[in-house]
Amino acid sequence: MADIAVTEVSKGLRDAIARLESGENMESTGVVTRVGDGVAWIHGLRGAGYAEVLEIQTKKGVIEAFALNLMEDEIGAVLLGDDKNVVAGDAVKLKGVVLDVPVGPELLGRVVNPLGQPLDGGPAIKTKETGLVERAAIGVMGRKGVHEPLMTGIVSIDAMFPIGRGQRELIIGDRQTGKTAIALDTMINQGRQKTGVVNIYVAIGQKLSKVARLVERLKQEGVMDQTIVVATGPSDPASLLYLAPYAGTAMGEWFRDNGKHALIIYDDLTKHAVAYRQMSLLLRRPPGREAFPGDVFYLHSRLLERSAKLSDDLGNGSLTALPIIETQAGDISAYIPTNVISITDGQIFMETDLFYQGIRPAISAGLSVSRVGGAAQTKTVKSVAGGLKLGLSQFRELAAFAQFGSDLDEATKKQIERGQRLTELLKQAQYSPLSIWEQTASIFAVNEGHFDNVSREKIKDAQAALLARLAKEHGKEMDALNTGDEKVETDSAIGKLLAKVAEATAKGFEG
Amino acid sequence: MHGKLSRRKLAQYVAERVREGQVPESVIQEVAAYLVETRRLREMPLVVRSIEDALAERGVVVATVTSARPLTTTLRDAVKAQAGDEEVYLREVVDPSVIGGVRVQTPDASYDGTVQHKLQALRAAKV
Repeated sequence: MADIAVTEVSKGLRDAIARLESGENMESTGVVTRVGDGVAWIHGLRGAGYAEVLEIQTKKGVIEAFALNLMEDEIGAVLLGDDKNVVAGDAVKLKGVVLDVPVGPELLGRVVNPLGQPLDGGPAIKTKETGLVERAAIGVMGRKGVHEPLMTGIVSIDAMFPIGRGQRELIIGDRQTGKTAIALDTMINQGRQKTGVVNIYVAIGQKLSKVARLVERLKQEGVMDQTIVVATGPSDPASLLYLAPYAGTAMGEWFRDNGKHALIIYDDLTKHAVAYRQMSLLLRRPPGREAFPGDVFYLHSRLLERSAKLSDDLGNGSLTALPIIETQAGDISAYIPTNVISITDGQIFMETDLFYQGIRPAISAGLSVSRVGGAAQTKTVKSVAGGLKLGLSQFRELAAFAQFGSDLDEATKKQIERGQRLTELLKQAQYSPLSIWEQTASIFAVNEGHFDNVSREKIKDAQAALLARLAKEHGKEMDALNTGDEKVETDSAIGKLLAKVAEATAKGFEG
Repeated sequence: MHGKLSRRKLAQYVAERVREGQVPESVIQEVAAYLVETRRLREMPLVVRSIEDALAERGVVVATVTSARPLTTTLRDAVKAQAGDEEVYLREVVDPSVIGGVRVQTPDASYDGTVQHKLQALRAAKV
């Protein structure tokens, strides 16, 4: 018995040694000459390619880096791990691959770092496929116009600045204006409305406590099983912050390329640009405006170009991007905000003033725009959104006169009153995205004047009562409306039904 | 004096001269003087590496061979053949801590066939 065990052990050992034999060939090697601030300078390895992975053999094991500066005398490489263990004189080998991350459905429900390693304490992630972190965006012929809606569940966005699948819509605003809240509500809505859209949340240098809270919320709402969180904290090396959005996009592209739909949120690209600035300055690349390197536009344009709606031939999948940018004191003409505004297909601008006036979500109707989403809006919402936009824009023009009160003529007064009610209606609590029929019925009731006798303070209560009543008494009609294919007009059957119920509901809230 | 010469240019200059048959000492003196004058003495180890690199490009290789016991003539020839260049000069190091086998290091490549390396690899693979 003991004999067999011994032969097995020796066979196993021999096999293991055989696997270790690296062949008879010489391997090309370089040597670390300088290291510090997460950057290593390497002599030799003249065969290294751009963004190729290098393995630095330190006393405490192998640390990976990727080559970003290929110069005459040396290579500047950014370390993917701790620089404490790397010392000058360490040998460096080429791994022979460019960076890739695990991709596929196995990642759903997980929190990972930009290298695809789990951060949630769960088991190691084994996927069948890997995706390139840096990959060229799909070409012209592989694309199609954006035409399907991606419902955020937020009335003001879905009605006024609709987002389509494959669109890139920027969320921009100062700190503490509810940018992440919009992204989070959109993710929750994908679960509530069972759209089947996969969420990918990329936290770039976000406080880990914030990420933990977000994951907790997603779990509570039951959306985590269709979500991937790629998390990096403020204490991670700049190289990981730089890679995070590209890694997240690679994970999203798997769904896009397999005929599925995915939504990716980059929270936020301001920190991404800052991390890239740090790396570039340490690599001694010349600084430009605001000390950002010359290719900071390309940094974001090549990232966002990968979000697309694919053609029928390629399976019709889509990747929708909601990048977030944080401004300083509402200044959207700073370098990074203007860059990303010009790259994306529209922006949702959040205003601090509105936020403190209690208008939440604090979306600025004047500065926000969606350049392609109109084609993707559902017929149902579109049929009532026109009136909403008109009512609000008339209100904005007249709002300055609102303080004169009784001195105004009847028509003006009426428009102001309507505008105030519409503004009230667009207020929406966090974590309460609305479905298509809920949005349509609410807008219809206010816009058609059925709530004109309800005081401003009671609009939200009246809305809740209307929706409860409709769900209870007319469930079938509302389900039909929820498909989004039916137009709502005042003289159509559904319009008459909504008007009738709205009038009846308003009675209870008058005065 | 013209602008800063890169180490690569410096190394190529030295390699060319040596290949042309010039006495190495005179070229080395020239380069040493240049480094002193331009206050680039700290770069010396890197310049030496670059010179070895440049020579290797021209078929002259200086290889460091580490083994546990002094090399025999047959082994020496085998190592030279492995490096595969026209002119191979060996810098022999005897280091008992490698236990057995040889490690060959040329300016831009290496081969580690020592028992020490295999043991380390086994430990890393956690067999």
